[in-house]
Amino acid sequence: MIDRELISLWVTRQVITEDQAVTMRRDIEESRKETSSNNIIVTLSTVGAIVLGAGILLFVASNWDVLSALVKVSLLLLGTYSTLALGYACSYRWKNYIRVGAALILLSTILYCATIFLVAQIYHISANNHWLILFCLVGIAPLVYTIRSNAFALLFLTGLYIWLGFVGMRTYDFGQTSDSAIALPALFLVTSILLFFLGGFHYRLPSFASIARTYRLVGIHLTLLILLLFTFQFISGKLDSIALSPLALRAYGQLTVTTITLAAAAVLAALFSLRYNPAQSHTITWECGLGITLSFVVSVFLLSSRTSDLFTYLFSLLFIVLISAVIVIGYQREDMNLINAGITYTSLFILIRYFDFFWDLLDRSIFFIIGGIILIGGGVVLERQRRKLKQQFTHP
Amino acid sequence: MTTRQVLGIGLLWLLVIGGIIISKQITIWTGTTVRLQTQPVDPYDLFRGDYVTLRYRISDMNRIPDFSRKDTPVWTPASSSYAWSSGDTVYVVLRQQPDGTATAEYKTPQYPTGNVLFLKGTVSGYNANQIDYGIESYFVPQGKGKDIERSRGTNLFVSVTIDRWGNAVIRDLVMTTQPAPSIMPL
Repeated sequence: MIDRELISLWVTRQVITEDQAVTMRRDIEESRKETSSNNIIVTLSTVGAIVLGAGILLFVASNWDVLSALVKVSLLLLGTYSTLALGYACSYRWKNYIRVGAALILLSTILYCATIFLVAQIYHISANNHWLILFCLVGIAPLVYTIRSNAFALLFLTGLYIWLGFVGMRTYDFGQTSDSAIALPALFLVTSILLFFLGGFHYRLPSFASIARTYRLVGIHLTLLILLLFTFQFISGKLDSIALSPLALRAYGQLTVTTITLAAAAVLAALFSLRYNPAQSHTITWECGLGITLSFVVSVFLLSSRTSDLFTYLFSLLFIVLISAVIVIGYQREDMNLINAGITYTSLFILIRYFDFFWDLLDRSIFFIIGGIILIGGGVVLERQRRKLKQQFTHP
Repeated sequence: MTTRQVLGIGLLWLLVIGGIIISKQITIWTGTTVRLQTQPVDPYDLFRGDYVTLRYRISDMNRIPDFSRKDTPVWTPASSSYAWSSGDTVYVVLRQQPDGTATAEYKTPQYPTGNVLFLKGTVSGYNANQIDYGIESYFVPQGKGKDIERSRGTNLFVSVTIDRWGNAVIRDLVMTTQPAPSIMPL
């Protein structure tokens, strides 16, 4: 990235004249201001769209009986299509308010989902019905691939994971989560691994490159987060007592079968990626190796009786390996997103293990004093390291 | 994004929303309306601000016999009861009482044939002891649910329309002026 220091260097080396340097510095300044201004516009518009959408959702939820059902549905449909049309016109036809237009399209998507939930409310369809979320996803998916924006991709993925959760827990009362609910994080873990490889497939079409990266980053983050959860003994360790009836075990089995099916799909996707490398990644072997190993271990974990803490140690080891791989690959690719993710989760892991090991061993006050010093010191070190890396990547 | 894509997305949204409305309206237009008695719900599942959680007498798996009686042959009784588990589809054949209330006659895993009124449900619960029919929520304007909540299990009935495929739509809540009898036939 060109900055003032680089321009001064070029002037010193007589690559450019001083007049050219002045023009370049002015252009850079204007570009920065425009970028900053654009970011503010995008933020304000997006937040405005979400707030407006939330207000309308609350209006629907309040079930104001002054208006009839037909009027409410008509109003929402009118709002949905008018914001979609206006957003499209602003962003793609007139091209005068591109970012505001994108926010309006986001609002129209929220209103579409609100209409579905309003119709469900009118017919007294249960609020926990996973079909409603699926219908929302069906409407959002085309927008992800036509607009190719990170915001829609993230909205879609959020809905997808919520839908998976509802599907997985559909046969349970929400007040009766049990040991069998461990299959839910496992389901999310294999889904994240699969998402990572599906993201890679999107690189086949250059126009989907931004979506591909979003899918892969979300896949990495969620894989790390859930794997971190599995390093807790009370989640993946030995179960002192299992009071599952045969019927509940069979119900648990439905969730397990779904998870293992997705794990198998993740393995297939990994093998396909290894063979064809659609993402043109230089670290494809690592990626596929880790993906296949994780999918396999999670599947075995679900099918095994938990009579020891073996899986806790195994997940901890896998977590360390994955973190290390993320950081190393981040360095190789000079990708600050990966490095930030690696550092963040490493810090979390160290913090959690510190609590684990020393909570009972140290006097409380010493525990917090030492913990505080470590955190502050760690923060200083990390900040210095990040700055150094950023400097390295921008000025090799 | 092209105009054609926008129109396509708009049409898709209309199809999805219209599909939900039409599927429910078909049940309302072609179905039979009956009353179902509610039963008290665990306080944990109480009214959540804008809708009431409903449970019915016919939601309890243990209170509904597994196979048919001699005079209503639909499903050949097996030598032992069917091993129900959460997630299974269950069909509950109903009998209409003279007062318009419907009670459960028996439950079966097979799609009932003949001219019988039945509800399609899904077995749920930790021990597969509940049936969900998709009519367990009733949306009310905010602040108007307390009276309904207090009436559950005593004099509160739900009017539902059931179509020939066993799908149900809630039409209304019915609060009777007299409390329901203490013993109701299943």
